[in-house]
Amino acid sequence: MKRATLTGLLFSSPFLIGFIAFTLYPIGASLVYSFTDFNMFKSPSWVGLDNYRWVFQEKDVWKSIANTLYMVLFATPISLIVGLLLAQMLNMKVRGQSIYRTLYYIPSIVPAIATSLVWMWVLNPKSGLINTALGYLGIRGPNWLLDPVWTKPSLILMGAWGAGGIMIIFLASLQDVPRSLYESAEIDGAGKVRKFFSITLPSISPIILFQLIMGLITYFQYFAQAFMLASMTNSGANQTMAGPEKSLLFYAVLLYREAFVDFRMGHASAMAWVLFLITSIVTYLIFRSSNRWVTYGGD
Amino acid sequence: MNAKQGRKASLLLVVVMMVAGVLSACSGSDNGNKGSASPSSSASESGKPAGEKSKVSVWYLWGGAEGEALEQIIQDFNASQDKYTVEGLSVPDEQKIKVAIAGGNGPDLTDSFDWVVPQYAQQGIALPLDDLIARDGYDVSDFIPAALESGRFDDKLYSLPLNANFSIMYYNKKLLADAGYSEPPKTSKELYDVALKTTKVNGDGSIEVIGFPSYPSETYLFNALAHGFGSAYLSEGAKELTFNNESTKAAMQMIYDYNTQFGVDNIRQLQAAGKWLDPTDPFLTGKQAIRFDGPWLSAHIKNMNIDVDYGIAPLPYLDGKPETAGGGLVSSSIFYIAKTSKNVDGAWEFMKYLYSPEPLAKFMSLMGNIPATKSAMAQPAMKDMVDSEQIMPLTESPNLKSIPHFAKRSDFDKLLGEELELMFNLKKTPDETMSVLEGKLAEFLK
Repeated sequence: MKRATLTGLLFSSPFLIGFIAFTLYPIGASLVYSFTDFNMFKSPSWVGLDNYRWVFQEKDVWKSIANTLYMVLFATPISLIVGLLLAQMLNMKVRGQSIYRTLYYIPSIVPAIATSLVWMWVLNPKSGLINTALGYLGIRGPNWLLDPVWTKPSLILMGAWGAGGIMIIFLASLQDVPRSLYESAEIDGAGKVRKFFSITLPSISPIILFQLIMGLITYFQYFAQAFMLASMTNSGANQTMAGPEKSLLFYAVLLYREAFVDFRMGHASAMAWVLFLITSIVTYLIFRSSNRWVTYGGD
Repeated sequence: MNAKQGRKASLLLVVVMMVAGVLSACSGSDNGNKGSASPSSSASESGKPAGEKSKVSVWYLWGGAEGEALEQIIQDFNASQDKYTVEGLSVPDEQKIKVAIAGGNGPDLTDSFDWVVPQYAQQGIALPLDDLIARDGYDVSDFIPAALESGRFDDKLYSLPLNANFSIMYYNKKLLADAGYSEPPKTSKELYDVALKTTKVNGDGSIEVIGFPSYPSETYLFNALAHGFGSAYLSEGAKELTFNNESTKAAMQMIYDYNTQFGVDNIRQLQAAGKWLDPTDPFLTGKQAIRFDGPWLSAHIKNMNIDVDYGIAPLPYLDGKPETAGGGLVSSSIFYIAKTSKNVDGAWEFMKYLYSPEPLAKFMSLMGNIPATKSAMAQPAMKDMVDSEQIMPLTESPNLKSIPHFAKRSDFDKLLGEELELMFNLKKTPDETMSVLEGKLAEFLK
């Protein structure tokens, strides 16, 4: 081996060792475990495709897929649109803009657990901020986190509140759109809306693609907030972690429950691989479609 | 063109890494927990120089005043002998404890509830105690038999019970008096009458005062109500499903009727308003007339200096069946030694100390719990338990029952909870729910 290669490998070894030990090896192990009956205490025994059969037959898995798709289909576009609208507003030239930018970004650096705890209070049907405000308008707000119809909209609301991460990337990309394009459009008499749809959106389309895929992956693996809200009930810890009428039983939550509550590592590993395949396929399809709607302009 | 390819490639790389995250997050570890510890060979003890104390780690789910009570017992134990040092740690997350035990980095001794025994026995989380008991000739006859049995699965004893928990009825004297009652309800019919008369509703339908024990939750209420009415879900030894009986049906119907009358939304709103056993708890703010809860409620009321004029009574029995009076569902908190414990002997020594009459009585009276041994119950310390003169006599009822263990207990509980929830939310009638449960629950006994 060349000396330079060795030096290079040595320099990257902290990452390489970490990646192999904590990512690559566990990935390989989970593939093996997905074909076994394994509970962490007793040694695994080979069961062939049983775990994968279970994944496709178990009613709770299908329930969790439906819940997860709800989030993927609604929460992803909503958080993208909110992020983009915020970025548009924060891209305007107004006094104290840096203060607004900071304020809107702050929620996204609050850890998910803290966010959930704050929102549990905000969404409290009796004393929470939202229902109190609605009460002034004479509207009786819903039982957000206790009504199976409203649990997922509550989570989407929480997600939109924390769209600062999405916003900041959009903001950077908006500032990258060449001024000259707007100027020539103005000469041709284009209005604000026209400029937004014909110049802004195409110009930032690579960033939209990036955010879209990141959003999809985030919501396919949606876990922390739902887990918190479903397991922290007023009457103590809830072992089913499913929320009212299983409305918060997301795929990753069920996976966690199978793995660390019921210790069925085989089921959990098989679920992880199925999720990996679903996410990969969806990502691939979006990449394929991106040729039609993403434009890469010159730098 | 190159820039486009480059961007695509780097995006792809990020995506692959993120997706990989989900896979690596859920793979188990199998690092060396196959060797099961045996009573006579605990690793950390051998090889210790004479005179040095060996460490015993005890994790517990309690926090606050209850955790402090256990810490007092730990200090007493450490001062009482010079072989072991027990280190206590409050870990209120049971999953964390289980995963730590699986990884071999968990506690030597920890607590849980008796209904986990079948699961922990089958999964190999808990160590059977039989060899230790036989080795030391430990006398288990001091334990209340039903509570002791709750630690047994497949003829092995996996845990020892700390307490005998069952719900009793707390009632708010003022709210009952305002509605014209000088006595707490004794029968199911009286209970429902009191509930209807004491419930106060605001103009928009929201509940100001809840008369029914729907708080903290119907799930919590259902087991107490059904067992109070004399139900038993299973025959002895869990051979047969006896869930479908008039007592269970009466409990289902009563919750269904109350929710129909006052509205699920209104009840959920009230349940969300206050936190259980917290100063915001509706019973503690004087907004709940009847409450089913354990005797610890008395201890909480006293510890927090809550000003509420309450009384204590047995759970109401099913109208027309006075022979079932004093019924209820008994469960226990337990301690078990972890299968991967590195100091089994030390854990066992502390366990024996904890269950001896004085420490157990001290611990339980501080927590407001009824101890699971006869000798601890007779200790003078139990007199200090809040409301002990009203609570202790209730323990003598022959109608207190526990649910016998069977292999699929956790699946049984899960399904029962799911189906009942649909009925509590009025998505299904009690009859529909019963017919589903009768068929499906029986499957878990096979």
